[in-house]
Amino acid sequence: MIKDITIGQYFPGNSFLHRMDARMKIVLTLALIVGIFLCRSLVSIAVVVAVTFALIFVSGVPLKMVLKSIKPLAIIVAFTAVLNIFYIRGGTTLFEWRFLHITSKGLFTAFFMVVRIICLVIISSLLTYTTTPTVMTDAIESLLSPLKIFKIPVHTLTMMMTLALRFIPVLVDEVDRITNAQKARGADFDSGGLKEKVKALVPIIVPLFVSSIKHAFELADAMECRCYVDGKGRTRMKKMKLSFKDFIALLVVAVIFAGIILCNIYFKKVV
Amino acid sequence: MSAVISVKNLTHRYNEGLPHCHVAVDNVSFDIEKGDFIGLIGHTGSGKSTLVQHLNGLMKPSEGDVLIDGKSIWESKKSVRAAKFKVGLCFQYPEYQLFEETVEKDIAYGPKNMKLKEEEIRRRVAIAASFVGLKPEHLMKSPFELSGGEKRRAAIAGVMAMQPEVLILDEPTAGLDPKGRDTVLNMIENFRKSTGCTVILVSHSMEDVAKAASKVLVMNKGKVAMYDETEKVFARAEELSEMGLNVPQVSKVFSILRQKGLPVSDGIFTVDKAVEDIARLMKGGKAK
Repeated sequence: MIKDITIGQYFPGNSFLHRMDARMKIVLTLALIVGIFLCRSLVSIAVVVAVTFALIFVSGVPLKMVLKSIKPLAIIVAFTAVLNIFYIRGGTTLFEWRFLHITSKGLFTAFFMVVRIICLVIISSLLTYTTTPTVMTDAIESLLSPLKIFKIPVHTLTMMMTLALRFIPVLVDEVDRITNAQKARGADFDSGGLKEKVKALVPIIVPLFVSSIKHAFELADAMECRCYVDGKGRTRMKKMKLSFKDFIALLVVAVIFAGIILCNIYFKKVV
Repeated sequence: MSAVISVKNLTHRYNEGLPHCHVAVDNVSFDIEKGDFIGLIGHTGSGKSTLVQHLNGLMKPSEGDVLIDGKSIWESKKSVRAAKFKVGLCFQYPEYQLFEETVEKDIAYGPKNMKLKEEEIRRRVAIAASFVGLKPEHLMKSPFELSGGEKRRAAIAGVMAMQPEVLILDEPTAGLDPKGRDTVLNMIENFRKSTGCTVILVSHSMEDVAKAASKVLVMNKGKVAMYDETEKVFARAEELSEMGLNVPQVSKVFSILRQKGLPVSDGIFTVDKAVEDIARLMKGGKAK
């Protein structure tokens, strides 16, 4: 179960998306997400779907892996769809029974919501699939650096993020090991009511906390041994540079953005 | 003698059906006799740990079967659970599994899961604690207040308290000083003698295995390379070193002595025996 987590998962490759500057990727991802939510007509949502699939194709990440990142969201998607179908009213009424109403606008909204969420997740997981966690945090640090004017410790924050990401696989391993050790002592995680099940987790959580704190101390020592001082005057081995392809990507996204807005204007709005 | 555990054509593949599928244990069959003390050795990645986790039903074989007392572990849900209590498995660095408020409660965790009566649990905790040399004042402490060696012993006691028929220990001496190693090995031997249980000791240290085990099982690339009495296995030094394994250091010294033409005996793999043999030679005895 815990191994299904795809956050921060990187898929090695050398595609156009892999080679883009991470800062540009983050900005353009945000722009595309805004674009997704600007869609009002069927044509513009079709454009978004086409763009999403084109991006998957360009990234070279197998479709199966991308779909895996949507799987955990199935319940949320279904829930939003159902809520929208019954709560939104407008347009022609298609079905009525006591307090239940289904209208054409409700159906469209539900459909738009489902497509939007799926596209949003795919596009943002493509960002993590094509960017290593370290590069990603570097990019975030660089993007947030203007906040230094307001005395916000941007470097410290991103360092914390890097470390958190770095330790996800370590902790996943640890959970596995501790779970097996307790199972060998007859721990039973499957039977019993909710209360028993929660109680059964104590033998995993306590050792996990103990070892996380131990890891933290060891890491702090290791960092101090290498004279780490809160990022003052640190330079980088790999400097991030915007290149020609980043501006091409910017142009493409601008065109898509304009396209979505034009579609909204020239085609019938359904939501 | 009857076999406590018999492994039949066991194969385990990781990531079954995926492109990076990896065979960790490859069609392995062997029997473990009641009361044996078996040393399980093998290079890192030879499939030792995977194999060991099949013996108590933690891992399910991709193919083949594991029988305890002649019955398959995977017969029913109940038998899978029963296997955990019959075969006690103590993982590497077991001190990381401690979680309770007191050492006593932690040792009692296994027996409690067996749904034993209160008095029986207390009795077993006391016995297990005495086997590992923990005093009553230790039992009332938090496990996190103990020293490293004490933690290790408390964790091993937690498995011993289940009084399993077979006790499997994965590298119980890893990271301990020489004195700690001896203490741990001695307490395992004591436990075996007084309960008559079968012990499987997974180890990297040939010295530990030579000192303790009566039989040795050598794993190599997912297969059982050798399974024989300790002396016979260590006599095949060349084959062992081809697998990236060593013979005990004394055995190496003795084989050099033999090359130099001294009439030392074969099959020396513990320091004690080496001392005996050298004493015999110095008295002017002849090679056996």
